[in-house]
Amino acid sequence: MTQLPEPDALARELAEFGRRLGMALPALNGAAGAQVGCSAKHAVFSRDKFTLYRFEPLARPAGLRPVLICYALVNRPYMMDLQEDRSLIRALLKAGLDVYLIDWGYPDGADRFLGLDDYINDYLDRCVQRILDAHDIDSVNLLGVCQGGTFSLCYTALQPDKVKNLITMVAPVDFKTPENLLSKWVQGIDVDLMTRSGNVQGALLNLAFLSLMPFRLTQQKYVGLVGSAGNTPEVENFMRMEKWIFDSPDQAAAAFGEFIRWFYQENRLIRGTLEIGGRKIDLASITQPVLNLYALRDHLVPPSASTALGGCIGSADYSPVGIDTGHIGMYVSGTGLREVPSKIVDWLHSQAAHE
Amino acid sequence: MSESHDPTSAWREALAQGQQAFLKFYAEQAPGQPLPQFAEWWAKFGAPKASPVPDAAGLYLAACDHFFNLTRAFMEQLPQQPNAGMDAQSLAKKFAAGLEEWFQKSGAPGKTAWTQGLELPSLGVTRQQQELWQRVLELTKRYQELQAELSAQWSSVGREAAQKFGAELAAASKSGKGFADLKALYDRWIDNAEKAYSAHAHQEKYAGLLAGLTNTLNEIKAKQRELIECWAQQFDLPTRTEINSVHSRLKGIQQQLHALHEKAGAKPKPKPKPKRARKPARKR
Repeated sequence: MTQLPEPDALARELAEFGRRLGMALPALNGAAGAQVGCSAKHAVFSRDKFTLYRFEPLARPAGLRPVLICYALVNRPYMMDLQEDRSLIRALLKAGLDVYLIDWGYPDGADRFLGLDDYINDYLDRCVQRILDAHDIDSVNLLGVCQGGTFSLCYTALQPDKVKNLITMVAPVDFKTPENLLSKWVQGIDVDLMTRSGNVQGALLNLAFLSLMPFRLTQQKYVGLVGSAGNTPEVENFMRMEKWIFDSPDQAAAAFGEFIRWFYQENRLIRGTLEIGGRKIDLASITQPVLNLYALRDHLVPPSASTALGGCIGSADYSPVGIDTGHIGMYVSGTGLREVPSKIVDWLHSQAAHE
Repeated sequence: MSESHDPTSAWREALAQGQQAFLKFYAEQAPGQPLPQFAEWWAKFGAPKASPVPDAAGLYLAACDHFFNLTRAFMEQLPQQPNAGMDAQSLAKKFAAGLEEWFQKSGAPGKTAWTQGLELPSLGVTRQQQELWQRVLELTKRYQELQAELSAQWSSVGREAAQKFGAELAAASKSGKGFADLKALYDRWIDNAEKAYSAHAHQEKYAGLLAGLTNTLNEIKAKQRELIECWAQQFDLPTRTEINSVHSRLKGIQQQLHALHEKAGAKPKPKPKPKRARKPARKR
């Protein structure tokens, strides 16, 4: 016979759970307005729906080239600057880095024909050029995050002279590794049919992401929240994360279709058959130093999808670094915040010393 | 207050009379022959007991009702056991069996008369719209079938998760290790459920089902849009196809404009700075 909790203990626990649940509701209500994004920044350039931001410095300049963060199209970039004690960007600013960030905005029906050519060869290139012109330099440090990491690889391959050092974070390169559940699911999707009805709703993508771990992401985390009911900062942290998770922009139909077909279904990037804007993307042409940060417990971009980069690029200076956390933990977990900013800053200093 | 009046009753009556006349005529022309499928559908169309629309609300309420019965039955098992003597494995089995039954019932496709109308030929001035509707109905039927298959997969997930959970409880019991609190027990249930789910979710069959559901749903959306556009055109209202065409042209013009702006305002390129020799690269 199994030893289950004693009835008295069970009753006490249930009573305590009920009490905490009662506390959780007003606490949640109070945290509903928790603000996201904490560091001061100003827009330096915008076109269509995207904006290039520059963050205000928080320390004496470290004397390094500016860092341009290229975030993914799915979800919003404020995850990297969620709150003061959970902000990768803030940590970079405190180290004296000059940080720029591209916010892709919320595409609407008028943007359905935006393709990867527009995002990479037009928008991303314009942002880089703005920074080059503003600082009178010939190349930037590019930090690409998740899908933005994949974009950064494509951009660097196409415009090698404009990127001094490349940092990729949880960026997929090989889209067909055995652990990649999302990839398995999209292989049979008729992308033309899917995008015929216009932009792909962010809510649909959210559903797909939640389906990767449905019991944890739709049940357990909310039960867990009750445990921290009396702790206002914890509840506010939870609400900020919750807001971010479900703040998913719709995806421009053309770009989404191209990304799924070319990357997930045909794995063109690693196979060397990818063309964007009529120009071939050859990863071997990336010869600048590359720091590849990936999460060891990533359920969205498995480590194998990221580490494949090492075998494809032409750089002789390649540093893969696995961080013991999950995909989101790279920006907000204790481990992520302890390790990721310092790795980036140290690596950039070390690269600058060689210039 | 007047009694509620069904404004369609006269139509229904006329339809019923027509159907009766049709059946009589058919019986005279082809004595002893069964009705062809489309004729059977026509004969039932409009009859109160054979709605062409599946009773989604009824299916949903039946599923809810079954779920509450299942939960009640499961809860009734609990107090009957001695406190420390719950047989976790048999409880897990009952729980799994109940879940399976529930998933199967809630996912069962509504087999209604309208599915038989799919073979009707499209005729007349509204032939295009009829064809579109038929395709929507076919796709809806296909969607329900796939949904039922997915429910069966989820049923297996529930059963396997409960088995794994039961086995873990039994193993913990044998080793003398108990669970300190209900939360720990709950967390173990979630772990087992995720493991069971993951085993299914990585399979080709599961991925194929998800893709099938997505593709079917997207085709339904596309066909529905075509239907709406047919209607919009009748009233000279703008359609999405027309708006897309305008957006596409606009994008082309925008690109040309940006290119012209750049050409007009292009600064002469500064001389590239001489590069310092780089130290030999190192592979880490």
